[in-house]
Amino acid sequence: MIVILKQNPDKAQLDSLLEWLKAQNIEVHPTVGSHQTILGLIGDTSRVDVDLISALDIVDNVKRVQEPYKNANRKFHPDDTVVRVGDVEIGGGSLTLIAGPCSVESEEQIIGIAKAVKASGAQVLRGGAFKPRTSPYSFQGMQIDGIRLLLKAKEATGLPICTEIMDASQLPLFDDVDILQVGARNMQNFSLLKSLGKTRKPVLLKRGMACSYQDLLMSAEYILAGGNPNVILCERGIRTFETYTRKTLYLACIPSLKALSHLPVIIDPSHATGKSQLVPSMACAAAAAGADGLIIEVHNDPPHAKCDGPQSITPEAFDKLNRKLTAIRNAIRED
Amino acid sequence: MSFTEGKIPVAVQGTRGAYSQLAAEKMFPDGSFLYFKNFGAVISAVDQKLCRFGVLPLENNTYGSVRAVYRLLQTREVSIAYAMRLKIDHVLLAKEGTALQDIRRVISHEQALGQCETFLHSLGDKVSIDACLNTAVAARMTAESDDPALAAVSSPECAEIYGLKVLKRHIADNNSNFTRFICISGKEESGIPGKSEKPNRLSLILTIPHRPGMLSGILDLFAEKNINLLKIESVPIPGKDFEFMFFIDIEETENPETTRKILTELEEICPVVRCLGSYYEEY
Ligand SMILES: [Mn+2]
Repeated sequence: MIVILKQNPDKAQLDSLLEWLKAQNIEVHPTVGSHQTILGLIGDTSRVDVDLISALDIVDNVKRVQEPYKNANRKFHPDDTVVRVGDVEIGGGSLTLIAGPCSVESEEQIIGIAKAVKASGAQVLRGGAFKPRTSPYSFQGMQIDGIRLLLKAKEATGLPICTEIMDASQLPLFDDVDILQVGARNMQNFSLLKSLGKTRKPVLLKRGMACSYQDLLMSAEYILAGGNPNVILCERGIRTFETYTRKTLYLACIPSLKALSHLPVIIDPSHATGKSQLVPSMACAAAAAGADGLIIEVHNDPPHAKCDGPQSITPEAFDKLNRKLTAIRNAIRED
Repeated sequence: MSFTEGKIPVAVQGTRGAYSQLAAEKMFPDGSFLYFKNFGAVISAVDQKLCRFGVLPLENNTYGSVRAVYRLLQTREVSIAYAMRLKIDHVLLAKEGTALQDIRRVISHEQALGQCETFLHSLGDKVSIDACLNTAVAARMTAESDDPALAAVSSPECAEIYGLKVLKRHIADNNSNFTRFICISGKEESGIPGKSEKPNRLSLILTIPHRPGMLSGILDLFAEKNINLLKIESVPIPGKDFEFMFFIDIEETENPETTRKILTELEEICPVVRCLGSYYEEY
C-alpha cells in the first residue's frame, strides 16, 4: 500500500500516523520525491483501513499495491533511482558504458583493454574472475588472481570495476570491487541476494534466461528489502525457440521495467546475441529505447579469447560504436 | 495507542482553524490534533485507536442539527465522554486587496452559510453561494485560489492561519450563535483528562413501536421520575417507511439508580435502547 501525502504535511500529524502504523507492525518506507512524499507500507496491510487513512487531511491519496514487489515498485518511488559508483552515475537515462573482456586472462590483457575502452568512453571496466560455465571442464576463470588483476587495471586507469560474485562466501574477496554482478544463473540464489542486501555495494542483477520481469523484480526486492538501495537491472536475453542468436534480446524490457520499477535498466547485447557482428546494432537499439547503460564484452584478440570470443567486439569496434551511441543519445534526449 | 510527545491525540473534522478545532482546543488544551476530511473518519479514528478522542459538532442553536453526524450516530457505535457549547462568531474572509463589492462567490460549510443567510442575501444576486466541506477548508481554498472575487465564511482565527483579510465581522443572523460539540471516546474512557465535573447529561437512542400513544407513554416515564428532558430529536431510519429513531437527552440525576431503572423500563418497551453516554456538558 502506498500513501501519497499532500505537500509539506504537518509533522505532528504525520508522526501520529507513523506511530499508529508501527503499532500495527506495518513497516513504513518514506520517499521524499521531487513533487510529493510517499509512504510505502509493507507488512500485513490487509487490515489497514484505506478509507480512514485517505480521510486524513495530510493525505492526498492511498493506493493498494497489487504487485508483490514493493521496494522495487515505481509506485513506491516515483523518481528514477540513480546508483552512484565513484563519480559515475547509473540511472535516470545515463547511458553508462560498462566494457571489458568476458574473462580476465592476464595483467597485460586486462590493463590493455581497460585503457582502450576508457579512451573510447567506457566508464566502468568489466571482467570475469569467477566464471559460471555451463561445463565443469571449461575455463573457470582466474578467480582470486583475476580480482587482483582487475584491481591493478582500476589503479592504472581509474575505472571502477564490475565482476561477478557467485557465492555469498566470496564477499570478503570483493571488498574493493565497485559493482557486484549477479549472473543470470544466480538470479534466484536467494541466500546470495540476502547477503548482498546487507551490503551497500551496487549490485548489477542479470535477468535469468527463463525468468519473468516479476521474477527479476522479486530478486531485486530481496536486495532492497535488506536495506541496499543500489540495484541495477540487466537484461541479457531470454531463451526462446530461436537458435540463430545465443538468446533473444528482449528490448521491450526497457520501457516495461522502467514503468514497473524505478531501478536503472542496462542491456547486455553481447550475451544476448552471442555474435560480435550483431552487438553494435543491438547496442544502438537499446540506447534508442532508453537504456540507462550497456555492458559489452570487448576483447583485444577475440579469436583467441578464453571465453565468449565469438561475441566479443574489438576495442576498435567499441570505439566506433561509442560514437554512434553518443549521437543516438543526443537524438533521443528529452530536455 | 499513538501518543505524540505524550500529547493526547484528538481527531477533528476539517483543518486548522475549523470550529471543531476551537472546541477541541478548549476540551484538550494539550491535545495533538489530527484532521480528517469527514465526520465518519473521526469515529473510525477513535474506533481504531489512531486517536484517543474525537470531536464532532452536533447542533447549532440557529440552524439546527448537523444531519450528517446524526446519521452516523444511528449506525456507528459511539460513546460520548464530554460535550461543550462554543460561541460561533463568523467573519467574511477574502484575499488582501479584495473589497466587499468585488466578491462574486462565497464558500463555506452549509451550516455556516445557513447561519449567515441574511447577510449573504444582502450581497445581492451576482454572488453565488456554494457549500464546501468545512469553514476552515473554505478559508484555505480562498487563500490558495487564483480568484480574487472568492470569499469564505469562517472563524476569525482562520484570517491569521491562512493570511486572509477580514472583510466583515459578526455576520451571523443571530449574535447569540452557539454550536454544541461532543467528544467521543472508546468505551473504556470516563470523562476526559483534566476535567473532573460530574455528569450532567445523558444521551439515549430509542426506537419506539409504531402504536398509538407509545411516544407519549415513554415521555411519561421521564415525567413520573421527575427527569428533565433536554432534547428530543427524531431522525428517519433510512429505507424504512417513515419510521424514526429518537435521540433523547436527559438531565443526569443525582441518583444513578434512577437512571439505571429508567433504562430497564425503556428496554421492556423499545426494540432499541442505546445509551451514548453520561457526560458533562460545559456551558
Ligand atoms: Mn561472457
